[in-house]
Amino acid sequence: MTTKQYGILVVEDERHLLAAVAVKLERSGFGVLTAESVEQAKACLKDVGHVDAVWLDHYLLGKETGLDFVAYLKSDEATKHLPIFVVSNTTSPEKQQSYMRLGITKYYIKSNHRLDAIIEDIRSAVNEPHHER
Amino acid sequence: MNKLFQNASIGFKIILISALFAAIFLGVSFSYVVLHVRSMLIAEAIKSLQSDLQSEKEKVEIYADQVKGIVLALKGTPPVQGIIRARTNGGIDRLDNSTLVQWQNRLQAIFSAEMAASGIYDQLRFIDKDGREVVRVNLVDGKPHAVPESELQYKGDRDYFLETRALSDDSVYVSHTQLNREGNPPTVSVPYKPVVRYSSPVFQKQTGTWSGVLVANVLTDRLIRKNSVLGSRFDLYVADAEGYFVVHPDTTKEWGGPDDLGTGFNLRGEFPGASFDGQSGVIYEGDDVLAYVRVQFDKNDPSRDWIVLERVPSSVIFGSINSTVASAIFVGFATFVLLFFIFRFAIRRLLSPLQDLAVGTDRIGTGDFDTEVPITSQDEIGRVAEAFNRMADKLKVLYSSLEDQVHEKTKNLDDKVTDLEKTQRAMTNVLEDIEAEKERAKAMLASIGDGLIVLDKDERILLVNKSFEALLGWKESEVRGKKLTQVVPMLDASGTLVSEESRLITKTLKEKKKETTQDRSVQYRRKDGSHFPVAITVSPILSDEQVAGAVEVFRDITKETEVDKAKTEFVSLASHQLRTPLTSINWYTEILLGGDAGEVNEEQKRYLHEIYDGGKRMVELVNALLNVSRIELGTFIVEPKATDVVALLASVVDEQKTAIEQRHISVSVDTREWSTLYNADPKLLRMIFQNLLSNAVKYTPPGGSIQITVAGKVKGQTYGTVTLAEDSFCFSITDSGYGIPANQKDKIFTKLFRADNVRTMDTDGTGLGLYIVKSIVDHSGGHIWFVSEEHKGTTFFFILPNAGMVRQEGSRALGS
Repeated sequence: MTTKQYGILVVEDERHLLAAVAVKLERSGFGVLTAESVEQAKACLKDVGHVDAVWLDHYLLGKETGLDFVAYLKSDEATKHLPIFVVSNTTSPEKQQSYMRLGITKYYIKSNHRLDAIIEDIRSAVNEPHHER
Repeated sequence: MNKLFQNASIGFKIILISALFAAIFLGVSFSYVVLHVRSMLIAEAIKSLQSDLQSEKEKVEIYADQVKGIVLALKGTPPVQGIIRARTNGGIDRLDNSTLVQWQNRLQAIFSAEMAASGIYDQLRFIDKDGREVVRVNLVDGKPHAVPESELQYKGDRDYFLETRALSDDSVYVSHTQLNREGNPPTVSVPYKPVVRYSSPVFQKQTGTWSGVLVANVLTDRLIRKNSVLGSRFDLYVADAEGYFVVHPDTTKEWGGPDDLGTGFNLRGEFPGASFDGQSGVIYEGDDVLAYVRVQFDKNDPSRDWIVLERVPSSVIFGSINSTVASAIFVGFATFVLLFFIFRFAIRRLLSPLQDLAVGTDRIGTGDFDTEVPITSQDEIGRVAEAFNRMADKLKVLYSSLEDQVHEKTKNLDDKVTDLEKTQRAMTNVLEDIEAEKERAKAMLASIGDGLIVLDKDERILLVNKSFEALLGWKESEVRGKKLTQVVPMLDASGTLVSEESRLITKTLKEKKKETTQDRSVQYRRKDGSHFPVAITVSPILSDEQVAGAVEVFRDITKETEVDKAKTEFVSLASHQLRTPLTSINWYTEILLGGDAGEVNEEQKRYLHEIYDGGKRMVELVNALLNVSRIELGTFIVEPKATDVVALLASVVDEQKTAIEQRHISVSVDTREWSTLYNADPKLLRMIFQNLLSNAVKYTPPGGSIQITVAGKVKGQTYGTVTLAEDSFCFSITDSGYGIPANQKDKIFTKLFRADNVRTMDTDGTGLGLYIVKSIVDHSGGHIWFVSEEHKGTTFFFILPNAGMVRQEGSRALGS
């Protein structure tokens, strides 16, 4: 039986964290693409053409933030319905609300969650049929 | 007029009043007398007039009677019988052989003699029984003239003839007075001859046969005037019984009767309204008096009466009075003038002492108490003068004593004045000090670093200080009297203009309470349009419980806001920065522990767990610190919404399932007394539940129990150890844990505090949880407390308003 391998785009500026997430995702059976900035993330998408979910931090390298990337994803028909998981250490409720308004799947405060817990949520999201958000 | 009278002297007054009195008196009595005398004189005049008339009437009547006698006498003269005899005998009297003619001549002679003698007859006649005049003598030119046979007339149809024929021998017929008529047809003879005919029947002596009539025509006016003085002095009016005038001062009015001239003038027309029915009487026509008498020519026949009136003109009656009155007036006036002068003189003499008195009084008034008034009499004025002199003496004594008293009092006063002056100087000093204080206060006020505004109860600016001017750009003169809310706009956190009702000053004035800005987001706009954040405090100025105004103090908190911002940002940044390495630690440890990097042995696992736990604790600490910093920085947002408390609680319990099961603690949740939703900020309520539950789990030894109850209770009920002041949402969590040492109970809610009994045990905790919970509960309008006994257990209670957590605006939300 063929198990589809889902591809997750991980956008995170902290190298160590990025590495840890990538490792865990791979160990959990996902394909991983990494980017440290919105620019890189866009380029990744272009290269690969398709991902199944996005792991997104807020503060990134470069001028643009995670919010900009979400807006970008939402503006494109192809990526509008991608499940987006914002994993940030920013606790500002305003930022959280902005993300929710744009239409992300879930918002996590990094330090409060185990990796495997987040990955479980991702797994559920990509396994289920897409819902209109 | 009144003033004039008041200012006149007594003498003048007395004289004036007396004169008035005398004048009135004299006037009245004089008028009375005059009137009385007048009426008396009138009565007198009338009386005399009437008596004159009466006597005249009598004279006339007597004479008229005499005429009757004369007629009878004439009738008895021999010629009359002789004529009769002669006529029955063919003209010859058989008795003495005289002829008819002779007898006629003799009768004529008798008639003539009588006529000449008496002068009142116009005609004397003898008429035979056939009515033919036999003898007639006329008065012609004042002389008797026997009328010749040829001129004798037939008078048989005359009424006097006919009337007389019927009479007896001794009767005399008296006719109406008439104007004499002659001729055929009988026409009024001119000049007018008013006649009264006296006639008597003639009888033949022997046979007694009626043989004719003897007629005497009497001239009436001569009848009257011959025998009386009537008409000599006064106007005479004579009228017959029917009222037609026989005699009238205006002769054209005479003989108005139908048998005479027919002019109609009569008494009634002359004197309308007057009555002439009596025998005598008085008539007033204007000021004239008329007296009348009835003259009876025939006592048996009132139709033969004449009414005789004499008119006495008023000038005659009153003539005498008027002159008397005139002289009386003159006398009276002269007397009056004389009296006046006498009186005046007397009064003067009498009242001159008063003058002296007046002069004396003036002199006393100037202070000359030795004045004396001469005493000239013993009357009342004299007594007054005496009294005056005595008074002057007494005054002298009094005055000197007064002078002494005044002197003494003046001395007292001088002393007092000196004292007062001292006091005044002291006062002035005090005032100067006060002024200085005032100036200092003013200077202090002016130099207060914060903006100061004093407002009246209508929110109008009374006073501002220099800082106000500096901070807002308005000068005091520009804003005084204006409403604060109009001069200084307030903006809220989002930059919107705050309405007048929401301004602090409005609230303060309305509710008489101090109001302070609760957060740092309120801004004031300057005159130039720029704005800056402010902290404002407004306090009411109360006087007798009434709001008299308010005082506002405000501060530019730009720095603080910036500091706040900086702090917030720092905390944010710090926590963010702390979190990243913590995440790193945790996740790598997780990977290692998960075997994703290779197998790990038990020992490795143990150590890795320690690292992981440490990391987790750090994360907790960082989260707690972040919340604490938010709490510390000011207010945090409380956003109540309808929350399913039961579900929330269940989820919190579920979260901590692992720990609970690990320690074999039984947890029971009783939410039977709370069924509805509750208005709470779910995030905050969750934090409270989480903290309290995790504490209960942490500090209860294995095998212990935890009971959670949620209930709604009403005002007045007791909950735990507290009587509820309002309807409340009530929560309690009881554990059978280590309890809280009694001596550390007061520190339980303080930051970073961990009681000794748990520190020695191997439990972890930040020491911040309860601080955060208490802050949340207090900020949401609730109350938290506990009861505890060491080694027995602890129960934490908290209550929140039944209506819900109190909404709080703020700049931060607490988070986890």
